Amino acid sequence: MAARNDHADVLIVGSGATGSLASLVLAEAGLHVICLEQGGWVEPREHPHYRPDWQWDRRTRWNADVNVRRPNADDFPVNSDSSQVLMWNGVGGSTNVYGALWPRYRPSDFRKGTEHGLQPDWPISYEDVAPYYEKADALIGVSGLEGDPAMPAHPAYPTGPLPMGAPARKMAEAFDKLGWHWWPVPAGVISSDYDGRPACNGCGICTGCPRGSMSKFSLSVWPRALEAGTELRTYARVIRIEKDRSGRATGAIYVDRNTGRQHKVTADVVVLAANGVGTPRLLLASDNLANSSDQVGRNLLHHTLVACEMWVDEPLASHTGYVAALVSREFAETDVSRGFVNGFNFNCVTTGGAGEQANGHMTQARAPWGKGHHQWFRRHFGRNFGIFGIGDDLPNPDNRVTLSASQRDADGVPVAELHYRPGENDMKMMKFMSDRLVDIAKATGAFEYKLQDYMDEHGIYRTPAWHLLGTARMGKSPDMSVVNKYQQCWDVPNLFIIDGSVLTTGGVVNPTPTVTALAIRAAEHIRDNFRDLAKTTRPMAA
Amino acid sequence: MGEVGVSEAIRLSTMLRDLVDVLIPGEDDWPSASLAGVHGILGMRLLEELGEDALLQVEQALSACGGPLGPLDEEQRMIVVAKLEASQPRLFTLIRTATYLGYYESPGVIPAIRALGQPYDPVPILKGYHLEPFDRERDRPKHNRGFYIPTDEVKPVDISGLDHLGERHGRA
Repeated sequence: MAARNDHADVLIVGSGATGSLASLVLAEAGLHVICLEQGGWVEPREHPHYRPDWQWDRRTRWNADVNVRRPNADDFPVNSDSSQVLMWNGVGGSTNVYGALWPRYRPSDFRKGTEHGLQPDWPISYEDVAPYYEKADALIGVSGLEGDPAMPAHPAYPTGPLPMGAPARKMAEAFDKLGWHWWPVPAGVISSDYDGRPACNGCGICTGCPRGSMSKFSLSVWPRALEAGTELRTYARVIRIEKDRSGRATGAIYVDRNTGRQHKVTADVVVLAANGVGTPRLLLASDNLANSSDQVGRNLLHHTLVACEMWVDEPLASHTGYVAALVSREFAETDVSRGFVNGFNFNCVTTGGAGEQANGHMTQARAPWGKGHHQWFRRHFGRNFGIFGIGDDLPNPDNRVTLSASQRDADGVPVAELHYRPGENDMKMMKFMSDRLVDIAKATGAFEYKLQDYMDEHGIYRTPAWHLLGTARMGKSPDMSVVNKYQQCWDVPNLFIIDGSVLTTGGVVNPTPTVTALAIRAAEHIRDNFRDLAKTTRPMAA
Repeated sequence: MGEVGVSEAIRLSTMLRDLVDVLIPGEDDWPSASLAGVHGILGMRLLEELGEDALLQVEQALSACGGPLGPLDEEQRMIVVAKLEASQPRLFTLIRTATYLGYYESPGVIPAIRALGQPYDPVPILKGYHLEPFDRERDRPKHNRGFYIPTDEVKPVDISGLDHLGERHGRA
């Protein structure tokens, strides 16, 4: 059956943000790296941006929800009884469709065990990660403004802040009126030409970026990783990780989707970079690999999320410029007087095209059909913006990714099943966030506002889950975590996990900057310890 | 195509035209949805989403609500479409979404959007929108608000008053 057997120093499964970075670091060190990707390259012209019907296209063919977009053979099946499951499978992974907000975690995000004990402490600190934030920033050309008093000091971002459009100024006024913190958002979007890529032109269609102004990793990192010698195999769907009697991972079996034939790649070190659903699915489907703790797939985190869309009298051209404008860290730390633990962040965003505005963009507020339609549009168009409240949800072992007992995909791998329900602390936080969003709407002088709580008609929280975290979490001991502080599996010493699965807590911000920083850190650890890792059979120390 | 086919083609095309014009009628400088060509777009979207008998499904649904729209006056048309919205919410949402997006994506409608006084390009990535660059003097926040807790200053908080956490105390 296996027509092609080959060996790599390092085998990486998944070519998204983290897989590309690990490929770059390890190939630049002279290691033979093979990266397997189940999807293909996404060419710039395939994105919706160049089509006149881009608004329809990004709701359908380019919908980030794997269960909404048209059948796409690059995807793997995920049954969800709750969350919308947002991801993209292909070279560059979900960076083909993301928004690239680039905020860092805060020191306390790594110390929730110390703070209240309802989440574990990370085995590492902010200070351990900080140098890798800077490495990631430099690689992709993060834009932003240094000096935020709500964050630890760090060097200036590689490119300066993006323009402050009229919506940003309006929201800043409101935060000033309330006496709350705000700051220009750091973004994985270049504000000036950088590394051969053109600066953002403010087109406002920030669902990925085929120009590469927003860091689409197939345009920003992959060219360098390939130049360094990484062997990237597309349409290569991994169906199983294999291990030997000594407990070491030996490689992976994959299906070449072009031919339907199975192949095996053996490797001295295996790295999983398949996201917070794909990685636990693969481990569980590989005879429950690396799961002596029974933590694989558990503690799924998405963040708490609510939103508010608001309309003001003055025209703001709110469909122009980078999609994110400001962040507010006013409520980022725990204050138990609010009635819950943990904090949250506000992400202030612009809006979509004219059709999307008329049809309801962030909320169900839309132009009426019939006689009043044009009057509504004249009153509302370009005068709106939105704010997301995004908070640190508590882990719950019952929120998890499992394998279907009855359904398998075309290659015989059990279908992933996802369950997520926010806990009471999360619900209290979301109520508080919604109340504060109303405060902001009033402070802007909005003539209309609409809240979005993502609850469906049956009371099920159907959050748009970009953030698929925690399902193979990092910890200090092998009984309650899957990987150690270097993202090395406790049970399988030459198996590493470098995607969002490893996050111990979700923090209060978009996780990609932290996930990528950790991926570089883990890759450097592999690089620097490769000789030992290539032969060790001992469980690793914390 | 035989007599029946021609008749069906005209009947279904008329249905789409009448339907989109109830949703977005013409007004002042705004063309009606059918004048902008949206009925053709809607037909394709329905075919794409619902399959080959999509238009017959819509016709049947409208009929169940008091259609077809053609012979009815404006007020009666509104009543029929309101019934469709209430009785077939999923189908109606698809129709409305395809109509709204198709309308504002139509090249003939773009001048009316621009006439509202804000910049608007149908395919904005081609030229981008001009925004004033960030000016560090003008745009840098002056509030000096915000704080964080450094790693070695993170201390236990008292959660004894948070009753909802009762059974979770100490569970990580």
